[in-house]
Amino acid sequence: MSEEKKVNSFLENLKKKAKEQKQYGGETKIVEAKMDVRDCPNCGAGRAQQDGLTHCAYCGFEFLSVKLTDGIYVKKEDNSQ
Amino acid sequence: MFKKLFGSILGNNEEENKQQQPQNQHASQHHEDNYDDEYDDDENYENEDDGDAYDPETLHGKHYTIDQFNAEVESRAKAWIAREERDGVKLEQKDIDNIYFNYRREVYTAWNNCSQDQMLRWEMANSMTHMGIATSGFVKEDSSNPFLQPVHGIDLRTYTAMAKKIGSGVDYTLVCKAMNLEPAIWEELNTVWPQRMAEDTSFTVTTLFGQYYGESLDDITQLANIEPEMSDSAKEYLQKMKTDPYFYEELEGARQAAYNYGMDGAQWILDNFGINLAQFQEVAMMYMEDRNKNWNSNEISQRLNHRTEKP
Amino acid sequence: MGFFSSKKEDKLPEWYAQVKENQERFFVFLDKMENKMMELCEASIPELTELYKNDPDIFHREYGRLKAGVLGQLEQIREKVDDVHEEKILDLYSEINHSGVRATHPHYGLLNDFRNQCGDRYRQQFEVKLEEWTDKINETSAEDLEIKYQNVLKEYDAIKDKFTCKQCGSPITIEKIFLIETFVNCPSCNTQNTFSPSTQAQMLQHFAQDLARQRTASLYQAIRNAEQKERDLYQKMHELKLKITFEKDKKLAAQYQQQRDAFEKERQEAIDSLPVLSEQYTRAKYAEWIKIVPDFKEHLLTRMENDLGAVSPRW
Repeated sequence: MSEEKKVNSFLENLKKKAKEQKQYGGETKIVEAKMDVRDCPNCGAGRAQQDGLTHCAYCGFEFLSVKLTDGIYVKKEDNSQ
Repeated sequence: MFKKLFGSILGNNEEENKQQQPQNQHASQHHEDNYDDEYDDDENYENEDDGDAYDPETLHGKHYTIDQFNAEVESRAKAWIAREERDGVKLEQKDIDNIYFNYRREVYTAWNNCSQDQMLRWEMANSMTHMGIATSGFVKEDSSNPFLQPVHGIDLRTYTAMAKKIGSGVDYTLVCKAMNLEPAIWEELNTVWPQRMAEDTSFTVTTLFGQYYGESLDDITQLANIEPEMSDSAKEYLQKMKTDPYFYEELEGARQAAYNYGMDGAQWILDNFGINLAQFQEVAMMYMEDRNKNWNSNEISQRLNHRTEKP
Repeated sequence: MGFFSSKKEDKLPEWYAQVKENQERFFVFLDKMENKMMELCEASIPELTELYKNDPDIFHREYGRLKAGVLGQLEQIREKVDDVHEEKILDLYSEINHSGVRATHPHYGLLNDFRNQCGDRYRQQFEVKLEEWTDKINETSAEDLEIKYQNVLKEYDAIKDKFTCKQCGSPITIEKIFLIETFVNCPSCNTQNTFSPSTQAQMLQHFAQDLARQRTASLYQAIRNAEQKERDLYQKMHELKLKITFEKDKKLAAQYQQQRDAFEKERQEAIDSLPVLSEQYTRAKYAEWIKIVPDFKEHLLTRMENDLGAVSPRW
């Protein structure tokens, strides 16, 4: 086989393999931006900013069982009192 | 290739050394000193693993103090630097670092009359003190290190455990639920911890992350019971990989080879052995740590040869 | 023949034929390998470029696998060359060296030239070509990140006023391009809503650095140019030094020396410009990077300080 043919068949083979194999982690989903809300699963109250993110202001339900520090958007002021 | 890599790890590879020299020295100036005698075996030193001769923490010999050691290195290095400067050579910081690096090796080897392997074990145990760089297997969690403060209450070890579960194929919402965290908090963690790794020039955060990755982390009870689905045969393969280093090397070789043939190596291992990437990395980290702590060049080279030959 | 070639003993040693043959064959072998490399890359580059453009996967994984395959082939060529170099050149050198042709031996120059010429052919030609091809293969994923960035901005403009509070229905304006999922507050009822950016917006932080590099590439190139200049001058100076050594005419030798001093001055200037250029590049790159992802400002400033303290410039 000439060198050129060898290269081509090698490349074809490589392409086929690259195409056929499944993606690790599955197909990627492309999602749009979206908005959501989490009410208190215990008493149904909404989550108000002044009450912080970690606990429900009405019944004390724990939304997050951690103490918030200064991160990217969430800051330590977001801890419920 | 591995031979070469291996040579460069040991720092005694002729070709690597040549590459690092200025490219345009005249040909006849290279290689005046030969590498003919460089591959001395370590066999003369077999008794050195008695353990008693070295401090278990620093791996320094017990017959001198670290201050004495440092003073000796300092005086030799200073003498060299003075000589260079007298000859009009302009030394950069990296040259000076190199001079110290070499004298540390020289003094350690001379004072302990030890093998190169022992010297390398000592060097890794002290990489932080000597060069400000962490080596896997030797880092301890230090609560005063600002890079290691918890992020939103989650410390590095717990973050590692979460990342590992997600990497092993458990849906991230399940992991968040188990930790009672909202996904938004997970995304914060998954941004801030990698940022700290990038900021930390000593690589302590990265190295610790890797060290934890090699642990089972089952004591983080919230996560202990969520596992990706796994067949019995996959469980057996995983067990074999953990207990048989040569089997691990074979898989690692095959995984790398798969990439060279246009396939995703991680997927290939999953398809053929049912072992996912996170599980694979856990075992890889385990062996790496073990390798660093018990540095033995003969065995490492045997294993690497095995990796390249078998698949 | 090199400078170490023997003058006292004009008769060539018996191992010389073997050395010559190995060298010639090694050079032919390298020509062949370089050719192979070229054929593989010339065939692959258009395929890769095309695949990158048309692969619908946002992470371009099919492209990634094909590229890894091509690079893997190049790596195998390199390993093969390395093995041959070791076996046919270095081992033969060692063998003859061990048989007694040490540095003080009158024929050592011949032996040393053999090793160095082969080494230079390998490092300075083959490896340079390999690197060039590798760069070209990697460049097949080069895309105009500016366009990708504009798409993120456009998308943000299109969606920023489209959301309403899930609790009370009042409009909520998304105040900026959020890089990760987060909480946004409803100005009317104060409820914390969760906002999750689109995939495209979430990718921004991952290509921000490359975009910043793209925008400051000319400054980086200036560093590379200065380094190259230094190397070129060093080479020229070295050639002059040899000329001076062998020049019998004093006047000419003095002229060469003068020229050499001028080169040295220029070379020092190039060396001295490096830290300045390097700092310029680093600061400019981070300034762009921060502009693209301002929410990471603090983190990026820390990294910039680290880079500024580094010995060699970081890309």
